[in-house]
This record gives sequence, C-alpha cells and structure tokens, in this order.
Amino acid sequence: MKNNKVNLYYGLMVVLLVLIGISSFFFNYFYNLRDEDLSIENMIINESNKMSYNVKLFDNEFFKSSSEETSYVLSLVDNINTYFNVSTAFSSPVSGEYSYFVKGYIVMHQGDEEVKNEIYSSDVFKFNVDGSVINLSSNFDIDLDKVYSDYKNQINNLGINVTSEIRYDVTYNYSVFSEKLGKSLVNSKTLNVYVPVSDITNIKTTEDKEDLRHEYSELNQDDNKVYVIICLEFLGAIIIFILLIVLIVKRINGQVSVYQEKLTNLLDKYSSDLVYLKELPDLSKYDVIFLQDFVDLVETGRKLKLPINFIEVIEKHEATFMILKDKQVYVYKLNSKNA
Amino acid sequence: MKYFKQNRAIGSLFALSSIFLAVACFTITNTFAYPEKYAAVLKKWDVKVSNASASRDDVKVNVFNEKIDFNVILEKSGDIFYVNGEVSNSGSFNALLNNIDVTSLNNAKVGTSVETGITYYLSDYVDVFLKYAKDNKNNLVYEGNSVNVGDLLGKHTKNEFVVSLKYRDESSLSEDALVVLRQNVGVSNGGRPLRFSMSVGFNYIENTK
Repeated sequence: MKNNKVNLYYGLMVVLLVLIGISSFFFNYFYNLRDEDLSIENMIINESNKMSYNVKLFDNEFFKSSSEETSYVLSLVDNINTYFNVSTAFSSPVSGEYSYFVKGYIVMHQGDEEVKNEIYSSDVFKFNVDGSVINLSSNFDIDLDKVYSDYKNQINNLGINVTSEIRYDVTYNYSVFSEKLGKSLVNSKTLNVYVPVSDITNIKTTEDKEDLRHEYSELNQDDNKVYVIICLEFLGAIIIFILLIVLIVKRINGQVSVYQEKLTNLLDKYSSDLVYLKELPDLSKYDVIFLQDFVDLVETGRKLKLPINFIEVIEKHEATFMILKDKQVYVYKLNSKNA
Repeated sequence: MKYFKQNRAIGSLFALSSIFLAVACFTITNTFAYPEKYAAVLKKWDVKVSNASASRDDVKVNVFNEKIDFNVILEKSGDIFYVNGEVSNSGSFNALLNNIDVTSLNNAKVGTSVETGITYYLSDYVDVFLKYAKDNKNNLVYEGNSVNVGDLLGKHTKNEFVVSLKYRDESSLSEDALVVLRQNVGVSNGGRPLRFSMSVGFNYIENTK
C-alpha cells in the first residue's frame, strides 16, 4: 500500500500542472489581445433618405407629382417643390446636433470638366438631438422662372456650347456623441435634384436608400491596461504554481532521502542482528507490540536471543523490523514520516 | 519542524496563487460579462403615411413618407372635400408629432375688391381641418379631436386621420368677399369651383420622455 500523503502530493502536482496549462493559455490569449487593434461591435445605425418633387405649372392651380407620368414644358413650369426626408436611428442613445442647408447651382460640363455657379444658398438650419433618432423632413422650392433666367444669362455670357443642368444639393450633417461607444459619430449626406434644362421632363432626384452602418467602440488605454493586469495575474499564478511544484518535489525527495539514509545506517550497523525476509509473514495470529525506537527492538532481540526480521514493505518509503516470539511480535516501523 | 514550515509555505503559496486566479477571473468577468456591450440590436425609425384616399374618385393622393399631396376640387359653397389616411409607426421608437406642415391658403390669392381694396385669399373661402378619424365617420368637419403638435404615436400603432376642406357657405361670407369671388371665379356646374393643390406633412420625432 502506498503512502497516502505521497499520493496526495502527486495528485496536487497534477492539479497544479493542469492549472499552469490553463493559466498559460489565458495568459497567451490576453497577451495577444493586448497587442491587437481590437474593436468590439457596439452600435448599428440605420440610415435612410427619401426625396420627391412636385412641379407647379403657371396658370394651373394643380401640381404634378413626381410619381405621375407627366411631361412638362419648361416655359410653363412655375416652381418645383422638393421634399426630402432623412432619418437616422441609432441602436443606443446619442446627444449632439444635426443640420442641413440647401444650395443651388448651374452646373456646366465641358469634356471632363465641371463648373458650378452657385445660384441659391439657404441658411444652415441646426437642431439638437438627445435620443436615438434623427428624423428630418423638409421641403424647398426651386423657383424655375428665376433660375432659368439666371441660367440663360450665364450660358449666353459664356458664348460657347456646353451641356448644363440646374442642380440643388441638400446637405445633411450630424455630429453626435455616444456615451456607450465613448466617441463622437459624424456623418454627412448630400441629396440632389437634377433639372436638365434641355429635357425638363427628365428631372432626377437622389434615389431612396436605406442602409445599415456599424460603429465600434475602440479600445482605449484603459482597456489595454485591463489586459496587462489580467496577463500579470495569470503570470503571477503560473510562477507561484511552479514554485509550489518545486516545493512539493523537494519535499517528497527530501522525505525519501532521509528515510533511505536512516535505513542504510540501521542495516549497516545492525547487520549481524538482522534477517532479511522475502515476504511479510501473516501477523494476524500474533499480538502486535509496536516499539518507538529501533534500539529497543535491538535490545529486546538480544535479550530474547532472537533475530530481527526485516522487510522493506514499500520500496524507498517504508521498512518493517520485527521479532517473533511465540504469540507475540515486536514491531518497529521506519518510514518517510518518522525517519 | 522543517516539514511544518514546508506545509505552511505550500499552503501560503497555494492561497496566494488562488487569489491571483480569482482576481484574474473577476477582472475578466467584470470586463466581458455584459452582453449588451457587444450585441447591438437593430433599431429603426419607420413612421409613414399610408392608405390615403380622397373623397372624390378623380383625385389621386400622392403619399410620400410622412407627407401627402393632393389636388382639391370644391365645386360650390358648402362643399366638403376630404382625404382619409393612416399614419403608422412600424419602427422601434415611440414617436411624437413635432410639426405639421399644411399648405397655407393665406398666400393663395383669389382677388382684390375694387370697392374696399381688400385682397381675399383662399383661406377666406375655405376652412381646413385636420382631425383624427378613428371614432368619427359621420361629420368630419365638426367632430373628433384635432391632430396637434405633441400628439403621441406609440411604436407598432397607427392613427387614422382626415384632412377636411369646407367651402364656406355664402351666408357666412361678407358681401365684399362674395363680389370678389364672383368677379374672379367663373361659374361651372352651378357653382364657382375652387381648385388648388395642397400638401400635408407630418414631422414626427422620437418621444424621449
């Protein structure tokens, strides 16, 4: 039978080795994490834009909607009322401001070149947002009568043939701060209305669009510090585990070596008194008397003029010395515990 | 004594390493244990007008997001023209009506009186009402609650509305206004029809309260 305590030490060493393995894995994991430019998805932004227009004709109280199949004559168009809607929904609250402004241009194309002459500029309209939604709906009129007159003047002054169009841009911006992400979110979007002078029927607006955008929280210095702390904790644990194993190995070896040293001494010193047994006799029929000291056993043997029987029960760990006398047996046990 | 000391050392080191591991586990748990920090849920804004129709079959109502456009035809005094519709909130947020943009009839000139010099506009002849229509199908002009700025539209709900335009009875118009009407609007089908375009735009924002 093996010594329970030694078994316990071996078991503890296995546990420590497993813990070292686990700690090393996590140390390596977080150490690599620290070096990466890691980002964690945190917010989804749902953005959509829509645009439409109505054409109002002179001497006609009614308008013609962009959704109707209609043809227009430039000289009969009074104005083009343009409506737009831009909405932005954040998956978590933000605060900040958004704005829009409208600018109108006469855009002339000559080859690859594009020249823009500003003909209209609105104020910048600013609004605050403190929530999860920006919903901007507004409209503006393109006074085509006036714009066309400006256009004719500019084209005539140019004196050359160019392809051209009237274009109105709605520029929408927002700049908000997300506490969840710990950073500012900025975006800009421009919606256009194209009025080709040569083909007034073919007015075009920016296509309706809905898209999703992801925003990420970027790891800052504090987050990196956390990873360093975690790494150090695992490293500390690993070092201590190794120290523990060293200590346990030393203890086991130490116990064995003291036992063996004492056993060798006894075997050398009292070799004439000893009889080496091949196997342990059945002691169940004997009254067993345990002795504290080996010297007592030697004296008892000499008094009784009987040899001391010896057998190493567990190699390098436990030896038994005994004197058999009638129904009595005198026993001295030497092991790594009492060596 | 030697082994007793070793036992103490082993116990202390084991306790210390356990503390290290416990702190590391706590730090990891504390840093990464909040799933909402990583999983963002898609939320959307979706408030729009739908199912809009006019009281006259020959009038088409153009719906564009939160806005409707339509041409109005009021044949004679006392006529009522109306447009029914729904404004629905299919998004993820409760909405609040921030603004109502209705075409102003104050700028649409009908004519100027030669005698008094007063200029009359469409608003002098036509009354405009914007009301909730859910519980009111009988008298759309005089019954029901008006749609007002500040009204709520909860997520996954809808409100039915009606835009009514009433051509004022001649009895409610001044003699001067009647003269201007007669001078500027021709007779057709036994009345003096008023024809004009209108748009009604709602602007909802998130209800953060």
